Formats: sequence, C-alpha cells, structure tokens
Amino acid sequence: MNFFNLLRRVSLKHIRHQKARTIIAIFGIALGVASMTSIDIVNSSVIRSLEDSINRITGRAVLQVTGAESGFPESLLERVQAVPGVEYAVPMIETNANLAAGSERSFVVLGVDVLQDNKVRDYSVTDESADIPDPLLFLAKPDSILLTREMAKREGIAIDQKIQVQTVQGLKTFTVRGLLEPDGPAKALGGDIAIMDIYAAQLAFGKEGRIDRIDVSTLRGETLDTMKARIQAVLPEGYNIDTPAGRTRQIENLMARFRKSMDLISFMALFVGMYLIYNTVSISVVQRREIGILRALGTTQGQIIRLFLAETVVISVIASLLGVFLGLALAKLSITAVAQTVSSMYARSEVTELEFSRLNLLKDVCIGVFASIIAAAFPARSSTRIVPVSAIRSLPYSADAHLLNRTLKILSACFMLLAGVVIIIYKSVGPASSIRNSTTTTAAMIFLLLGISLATPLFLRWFIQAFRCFLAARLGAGGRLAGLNLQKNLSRNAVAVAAVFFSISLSVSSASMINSARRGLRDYIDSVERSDIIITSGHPLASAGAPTIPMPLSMARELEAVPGVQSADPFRKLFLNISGKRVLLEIIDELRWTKHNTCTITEGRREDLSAKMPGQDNVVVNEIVAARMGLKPGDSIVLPTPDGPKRFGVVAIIVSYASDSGVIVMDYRTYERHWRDNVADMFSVYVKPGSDIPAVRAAIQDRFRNKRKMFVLPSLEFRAEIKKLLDRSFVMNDAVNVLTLVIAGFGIVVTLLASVLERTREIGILRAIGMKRSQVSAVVIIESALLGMAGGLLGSAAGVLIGWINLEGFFRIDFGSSITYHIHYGSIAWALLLAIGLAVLAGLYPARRAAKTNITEALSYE
Amino acid sequence: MIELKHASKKYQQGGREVHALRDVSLNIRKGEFLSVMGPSGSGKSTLLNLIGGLDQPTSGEIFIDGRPLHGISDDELTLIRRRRVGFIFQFFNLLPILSAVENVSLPILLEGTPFSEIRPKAVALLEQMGLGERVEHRPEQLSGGEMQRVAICRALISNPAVLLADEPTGNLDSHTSEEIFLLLKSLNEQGQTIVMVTHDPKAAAYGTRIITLKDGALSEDISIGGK
Amino acid sequence: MSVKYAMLGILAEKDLHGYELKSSFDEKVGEFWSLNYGQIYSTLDRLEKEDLVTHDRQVQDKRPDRKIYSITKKGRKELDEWLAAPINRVRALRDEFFIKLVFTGTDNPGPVLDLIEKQKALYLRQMNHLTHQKIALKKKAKDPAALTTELLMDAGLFHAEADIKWLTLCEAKIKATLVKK
Ligand SMILES: Nc1ncnc2c1ncn2[C@@H]1O[C@H](COP(=O)(O)OP(=O)(O)O)[C@@H](O)[C@H]1O
Ligand SMILES: [Mg+2]
Repeated sequence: MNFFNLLRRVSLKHIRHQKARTIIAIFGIALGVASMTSIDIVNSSVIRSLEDSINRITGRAVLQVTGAESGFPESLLERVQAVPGVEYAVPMIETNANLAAGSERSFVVLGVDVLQDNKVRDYSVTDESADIPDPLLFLAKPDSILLTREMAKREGIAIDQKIQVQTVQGLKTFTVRGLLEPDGPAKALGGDIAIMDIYAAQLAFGKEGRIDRIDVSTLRGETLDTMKARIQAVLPEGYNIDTPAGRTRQIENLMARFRKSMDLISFMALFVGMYLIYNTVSISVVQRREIGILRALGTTQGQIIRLFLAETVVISVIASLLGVFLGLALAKLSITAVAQTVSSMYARSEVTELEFSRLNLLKDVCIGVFASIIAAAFPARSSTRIVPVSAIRSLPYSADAHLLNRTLKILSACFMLLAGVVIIIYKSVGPASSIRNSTTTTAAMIFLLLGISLATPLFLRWFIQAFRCFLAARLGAGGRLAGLNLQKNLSRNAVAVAAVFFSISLSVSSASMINSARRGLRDYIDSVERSDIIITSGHPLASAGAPTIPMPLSMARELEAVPGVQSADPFRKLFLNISGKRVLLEIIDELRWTKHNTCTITEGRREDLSAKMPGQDNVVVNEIVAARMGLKPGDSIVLPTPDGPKRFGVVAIIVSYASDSGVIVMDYRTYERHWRDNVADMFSVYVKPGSDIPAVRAAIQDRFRNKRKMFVLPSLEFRAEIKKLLDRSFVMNDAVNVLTLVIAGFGIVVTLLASVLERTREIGILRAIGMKRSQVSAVVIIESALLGMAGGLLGSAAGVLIGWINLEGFFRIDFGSSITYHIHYGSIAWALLLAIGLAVLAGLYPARRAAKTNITEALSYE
Repeated sequence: MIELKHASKKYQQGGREVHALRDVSLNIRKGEFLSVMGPSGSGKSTLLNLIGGLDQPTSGEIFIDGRPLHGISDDELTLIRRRRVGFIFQFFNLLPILSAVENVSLPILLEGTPFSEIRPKAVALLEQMGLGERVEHRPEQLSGGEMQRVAICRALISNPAVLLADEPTGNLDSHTSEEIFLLLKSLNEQGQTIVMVTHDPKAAAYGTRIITLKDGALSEDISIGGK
Repeated sequence: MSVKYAMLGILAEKDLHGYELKSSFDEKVGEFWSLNYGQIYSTLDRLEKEDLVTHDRQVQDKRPDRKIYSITKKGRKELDEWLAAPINRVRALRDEFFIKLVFTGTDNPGPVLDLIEKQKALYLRQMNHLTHQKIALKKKAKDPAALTTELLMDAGLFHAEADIKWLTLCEAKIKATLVKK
C-alpha cells in the first residue's frame, strides 16, 4: 500500500464518519450547480425555441425587413422587390388572435401572399376539402383560414368548420379550409399558427394597406451585407433589415436582463454552496487529530493539503453530478412557467423540449468542482499550520484568531472601499454613460458582499462582546457559556453568520427593491392613470410587441355611448427603432390627457402641453431619452415614420417609468397622420359623476360580450393586477431567497453540529458536574439564536445597501431617475425574526444531540 | 452513607456483553477515605460513575444518604450530581474557555446564582488551595497540579456529601501527585468522605480503607482505619 | 557494609559518644536497620583500626569516663568518596517470598496465587501504615532531619509498590499460562 492509498483510506473513513456534514456540503454544492444548470437550460431552451419558431416562420428567407410595430405601407414591397439581387420578396402580416370559443388560446395569424409564399416557405396542406382546387380559390374567399393539424385536433376543429376569432375588428368568423401538416412554419410555436391570405388578414386585423414584414431571399452569389446595404438604400430611415439570427439576437437582448438576474441568482446559490464546502473543510481541519498524527509521522504539508483537496474533489464531483441532474429536473419543472412569463412579457414562446448539450453540463460540473476547490483551499492551507505537537497535546483547544488577522481586515476594507468607489463613480457619471449598467452595480454588490463577508468574524466578535455585556448575565450560566463558546471558535461561527447574512441580505434587498419599484410604479400609475375603468386587449402590463390584439380607435365612440361613461381615452404603445435603441412611443389623446393627467414635468411648461401637442408635429420625451440625446424643450428629434424620417419638436421633458429604454409621447392625431394607424391598446374610461363604477363596467362588458374579448378592469383592480404582475416577476427572487435561507439554515446546522461534536467532552464535563439536559440544549439554542441574530443584523444592514445598489443598477435604468428608494422595514423585521427562528430551528437537532451526549463515553479519553 | 446493593453493570459492545461490574455490594461510611484498586478494565471507573450518578446500574440499588440513585429521572440524577457529589478526573476536565474561578463556580452557576454572588467563595477556596495568584488564569495557563487543584475546588464548591476521584494523579508526576494526595487526605481529616479510584498502590495507601476489584467483582476489602 | 558509612555520616555531622550515636542512628535509618549496642561498638572498633575515626576520653563525675568519637581526615575522605560513588548492585531479592515461589512450583498455581494475594495485601497494609506515619511526621516535624526521614519512607513506599507491581505481574503471567493450558 503506497502513501496515497493510505491517505485515501484516511479520507474515506473520515467522509463516512461525518455523514451528516458531508451530505449537507454535497447538498449545498448540488443546489448551486442545479440552479446554474437549470437556469442555463431553461434560458437556452426558451431562446432556442424562439429561434426555431423564427426560422420556421422565415423559411428560406435570409433577410427580413421590419418597421415599427404598426407596420408599414405595402408600397415598400415593390421597392424591395426591385432591388437587384433580390430573388423573392414576400410580404407578411403577423398578428395575434384568440379563439373566441374552446380553450380561448391565443395563436399567431400569418397573413401571406398565397401565390408567392411557397417560394420562401414550405407548406403541406391536407386538403380534404373539395372547395379549394387551387390557391386562387382560397384567395377568393376572404374568410378562409388554415389551421395546423395539431391545433385543430386540440380544439376539436374540423375542415370546413366555421370558427370565431377575436380580431382588432371584434369577433370574426372564418372557415377552416385545410389543415397544415407539422412542417415548415406550421411546426413553429408549438402549432399555434394559422395562415390567411394577406389581404384578408389586412382587412380582418385593421391593417389595410400595411404589412408587418417583408421576407427576402437573395440570388446566389450576393453577400448578405451588400444586400442589406442595397435594401437599406431604397428604404426610409427606421427600418430594420436583419437576418433571422439577428432577430433571435434581438430577443436574446430583450431577455438579457431576465437572464442576468437569473445568473445572479445562480451565482448566489453557488456562493452559498461554497460557504458550505468551506465550512465543512475548515471544521474537519480543526477537528481532525489525525492531521497532527500524520504530520508527526512525517507527512509533508503539501501532502496534507492534497489530502484535503482530493477529498473536496471527490465530494464536489459527486455533488456537481447530482446538481446537474437536479438542474435538469428543475428545468423540466419550471420551463413551462418561464416560457409563459416570457410569452406574456416579451415574445411568444412555446417550449416543447429542453435544450442542453453535454458540454454545457460538463461545464457546470467543472464550475461546481472548481468553486469547491477554491472554497476548500483556504481552510486546507490553514491545516498546514497544525503542528505535529498538537497530536500529543492534551488540550486540543486553543483560541483561533487567524481569521481576525490584519490581512483579512485590510482585504475586507479594500473590498468595501472598492464597492464605495464604484458606486461613487456610478453616481457621478451621467445617466447616459456606458458605465451605467447593471454589470457595474453587480460588481459593486459583489465587492460589498465580499467585504462584509470577510468582516463577519470581526463583527461577530463585537456582537458577542455586546451580548456578554448586556444580555449574557440575564441568561444565566447557559448564556455565559454560549457567548464563550461562540467566541472560542470565531472563524467557524463567522462562516455560519456569513451564510445567514448572505441570505438575509438577499431577501431584505429584494424586498426593499421591490418595495421601491412598487411604490414608484404605484405613484406613477396614480399620477398618470386617474381614470375609473381601464380596458385593455392584452395583459395589462404586457410590453409593446407582446401578443395582444389591439382595438380600433372607433371603439372610443362605442364606449362613450355606454350610459354612465363620460369619456374613453385611447392609448397606444409601440416601439420605435431610434439609432439601434428600442424606444417606447406612447400615443395619447392629448386634449383629454392633459385634462386628467398630472404627470411630473421636469422641464418645460404644463400649458405648452395643451397648446403645442394636439395635432402638431411635437412630442414629449422622458428623462432617459432627453439625457441620452441631450434634449431640452424647444429642441427637435427625428423619428422614423412609415413614410421616412420626420422631425418633431420637443415640448417638455417628463417622468415616465413605462420603459427602460426611453419613452416618447405623441398625440393621437399626429400619430394617425404619420403612421396611418388607427387602433388602440388601451382605453381609459372616465365615469360620469354619480355613476356607479361596477355598473358601468358591467354595462361595458355587456355591450362587447360577443364582439370582442378584452380586460375591463376598474382602476383599483388594474393596479392590483399590475402589483400581482410585478410580484410574479419577482417570484423567482422569492424562490431563491427561500433557497438561500434553507442553505443558510444548513450552514448553521453544520456549524453547530460540528461544535457540538467537537465539544462532546466539554458537554460531558458539564453534564457530570450537574448541568441538566435542558440546560445543555439551551446553551446550543442560545448559540444558534445568537448566530442567527448576528447574521440577521448584518444581513439587514447589507440588504438595505444592496437593495439600493440593485435599484440603481436595474430599476433606475428601467424606470428613470425619479424612483426613490424605500426601505422595506417590515421585511427587515421579518428577516430578523426569520433568521433567529431559522437559526433556532437549525439548532434543534444539534441541541438534541448535545443533550443526549453520553457522559461516561464523552469523558473517557479519546 | 453510600450503599450499593448487588449493583451490576453490563455494556453492550459490538454485540458482545461486557460485565463491567458484577453484583457489588458495598457500604461506604461517612468520613471514610475509600481507595478502589484493581487492574485497568476491572470496573473501577464504572463503580465510581455509578456512585456519582453519571451512569445507572443495570441491576441492583445504590443510595446516597438513603436516597436512591436508581429509577429516578435524568434531571433528578443531575441535581444529585450537582449538589451532593464532587468529581475529580484524571484529565482534570476543566472547561478551557473559562478562567479558574469561573470553572470553580460552575456547579453553582448552573443553579442560576449570579456569578458575583459565588465569586467570593470560589476565590476563597482557590486561595485555600494555594492558588490565590491563579484566580483569573485559564486552564492552559496552569500546570497539571494547579489544574487538578482547581478541579478539586470545583468539586468542593457545593459542599458535596462525597468527593469522587478517578485516577486523580494519573497524569501527574510523583511529587505533584503526593501534594494532591496530601490535600485529599487533609480534606478527609476534616471529615470529607472520599472515594478514590487508582491502580497505584502508593495512592491507594492514603485511604482509610482499600478495596480491590477484579473482573468487576469485589475481591478484597482492607480496612485500616488510618491511624 | 553500609552500616560503616552510616556511622561515618553521623559522626561527620557532630562528634558523639556511643549512646548518642545509637539514638541518632535509630532516628535516621532505624526503619531499615536495627543495631544493638554491641554491633555499634564493634563497628566503631573496626573503624578505629582502619584509622577512620578516633576518640577522646571525656571525664565525668560519679560515672566512668566516656569515649567521644570523631571522624578523621581519612574517614571524611572515604565517606565523601562513598557518597559520590553510584551503587552498582541492583537491590537483592532478599525476600523469603522468592524462595517460597521457587519451591511451590507453578504446576499447581492455586496456592501460589493465594500466596501472592496475601503477600500483596500485606505490602498494601504496610504501605498504608507507612503513609500514615509519613503524614503524621509531616504534620509535626519542623527539624531538617525530617526530610531525610521522609525520603527514606518514600523509598520504602516505592520499594513496596515495586514489589506489589511485581507480584501483580507474577499473578497475571501465571494466570496467562493457566489460560494457555
Ligand atoms: N461505555 C462502555 N461501553 C462498553 N464497554 C465499556 C464501557 N465503559 C466501560 N466498558 C468496559 O467495562 C469494563 C470496565 O471498565 P472501567 O470501569 O473503565 O475499568 P477501569 O476504570 O477499572 O479501568 C472494561 O472492560 C471496559 O471495556
Ligand atoms: Mg478507569
């Protein structure tokens, strides 16, 4: 048996002997890797499915021409078709619709040029109907629609059946002329696709004379770049000419923030897992007498370090593999929910299968192992400080102070300073600076977290000193002993405190952040939206471009005809592409809006709004746009319109949280003139004084019952709905908070268990000289409560700071600078209670174990 | 004062039964200094642990001052240990995190008495043992003999009915050992009942009565009566 | 042989006459050697012949003259040499017990074990006795000679302990051979 075999035996024995602790460490790392893996898989699956749908829908087209959300004039099609090198250029209308009956599922209606489209896309139609001998006939009947076989089967729809579909124009009846085999576009979006003739679709969806997209295939020998340039040359500014991959990238960008917050979460989870490994290894370093014996027998320091690292590798490989499988399971469980969220917030996605590569999984395993090794390296290194003599020492205890040394203090101070510097730089550069993004604030946050983590031993020492001064005496011998015990093993206990601190700071920060965002949003909505009833066609908070079905502007008059309605103000939102940035264009009825609206104007005069906006080529921009483009009232801004770039005057700068990339507000009449679009996404309904809001709501619902599907929400409910949505978008945060709390709880269990095991003899002594079981338990419980309290206090303080940083990094960019930070005091109280409660809970098992200590065995030496 | 009636103790060790103590009947009178001798593994510590209420007999009965130690709850047993018994161990078994005076005060601290009230008595005891200079020292700062004297103070602080010592000098040199024995002897002469376990005949010779255990059974009982 | 040096040692401290010499001897090493007056005087005679001690005559009223013995230079030198020289010889097993052990034989160990038991108990009793004497001595004695006495007592205790330990070993080994058979 060679030397390493011997070491291996020693290690394996040890792992076996410390089952509980090893399992917890494995669990911690596994959770970290699992969250990383699942987030990775979910994200790439969603993106992959979006990509797949896009590719299927684009077919053989290599370039896509898109304009504003409202579409663009079909006359542009001819211009594109005339560009040399273009093989085919086919128009498309892409819009959302709902089945009025059945599952009321929403689906995408593609309006295509029936004669031309098969040049770009492949369809295989099951044509069991005698009605359509050829596509021309299909064209001749404007109520014709093709559904996918899958959808028809799901909804129980047969060929030639008439279906009612919710469109901009209200409910329309179509006849299913055929079914599409799952091939080409029909396989996209999980089969939620219908095909219509483009002219019929224009009529049905209120897009007369306009198209949403041109799909272009090019002649062989032409490069994409030259073709892009040529097409660009014939089009007005503001049009996107993109490859399908480019569109995927757009969506990826759109999802980047979502992705970033998820990545942060998995980073945190992994970090906590690292804590556990660190903890486990440092405990075994402290506890293992055999290190001293091995050293005495001539094992070198290097061999000892390798022993620990080898152990860590074994544990972490197991843990990471476990984590990967757990991640796969998690991904499977959560993919539907995530896809739904993405669908309602960003873009329609239908994930049918998980997307992952073995290489990626291997990468996750490696990260897990690597993180564990880093975590184990510090305590393993400190194992070399164990002198051979310690094996023969009769007093195995000694106060450990090495974590309190100068280097640590300096390092901790450096990190905190760094965080401060980053924040100061961040605050001092203008809002348009490239530094101002969430990466910077994430860095500041990590610096701060590291700084505070390193300072935990120091903090714990102060905390315990304070405890001993003020409280210990009141808790009797148990309190005194608990304080002393914690002090004796400052570094290990500090790790437990750090774990608690970490998770508490996470929950306090997100609570404060959400609180601020919620209040900011609520104030904003209160100031902007003072109507009594809101009518929307899609989800109240869906971003522009999300699958909704707009309503015709003429509906305003219909609404005003309902008894009790004073006025109905239309509202439309869409994205403009201004020098590569998606800026939200809000279209409002200026005359009415100024009457009701009290939005905050940072620059400009309120009178100008009613004087200069209606019908004129003027706009109002929000702070983000103003800052980015350096605009002041009186300046002008060029916006891409379907007819080419147009210059608009800037009347005022306002506060708006509606989009993270800037908001421009325009009057409806101006919009109609330039965009030739007359639909609305939302109506704000004002009720006549003295009228009953629920009654009016019922009347509105009644009126549109069979004509149109829409949300008719009293403002209060609308706000509640928005709140719910906001909460939903933080549901992942909450899940991770719970997860980290659980992991922190494990951290405390491990720490206490280790200290109980290590103190077996001490507990034996105490029991021998007359300490009751309950008193022994009390000591352990007090200790764990103290750890929880210390972690909770530190975590609350850090959480308040981190919440602020995150607010700067994520929300302020989203919502503009006028959002103010509101600390959520309730959550701090909760967090403290939770930390202490959890700690006590975590202490129960070690306490029981301590109380059960067999006195005579504990006292018999070794 | 201490009475064992047919006390036996069995241990389950790897499926095998170990008879640590077999049917021991013994009567320890007040003021006696009993030395318990026997080779290692003969059950000396087991006997002492039974008398001190650290363990309960498998069968048989044990009484201290007429109170039974068997068939009572753990808490009651703990209170007996705290108030009626003082333990001295081979490895001193002081709490390393506490100072000498705190270690001495522990049994009374456990009663919930504030430290400030116990301290004078603990300090007086330490001074009596010649440790006046060592009151605030921690165990690691003390020599073996000093540690054992602190342990004796701890055992005495609650005025126990009996002082139980398990190889109290197993870890000390002859001279220091002798000092400890003389200390115990003088305590005995002041009327303290002592039961001391040892395999060292020199140590046993300090007793007023020497019993020998062999394979868990009482094999010899020499009563000399000191003078 | 050591009686000679013991007497030289006593005389090196102080000149003494025969009677005083005897009581001093008893006080110091009496636990281990008991000598009668005859032995004392014959030893003194021998020492005088070897020129290690001399004597003066002390005239007394009513009584016969007394010889006051004192150590000579040669005697002092020899004493110093003896004190400085380590003892080569291991303590002899003078005990009859060993002879008994030899003659009892180990074929039938019953009586041997009994004997060992009894012998051990005896030693233990002796040790107990000696220990209590020592404690008593420690309590009252203030004079410097008490220390030497105490040390001698300790030697006795250690010897007895060694014997007990040896007996215990005998017992264990005899039992072990029994088990083998
Ligand atoms: N907790 C225990 N479990 C199993 N066996 C034990 C235990 N404690 C003691 N023993 C056994 O009981 C016997 C007597 O032990 P002990 O009283 O410690 O002997 P001594 O103190 O005389 O050396 C020994 O054989 C020992 O192995
Ligand atoms: Mg023992």
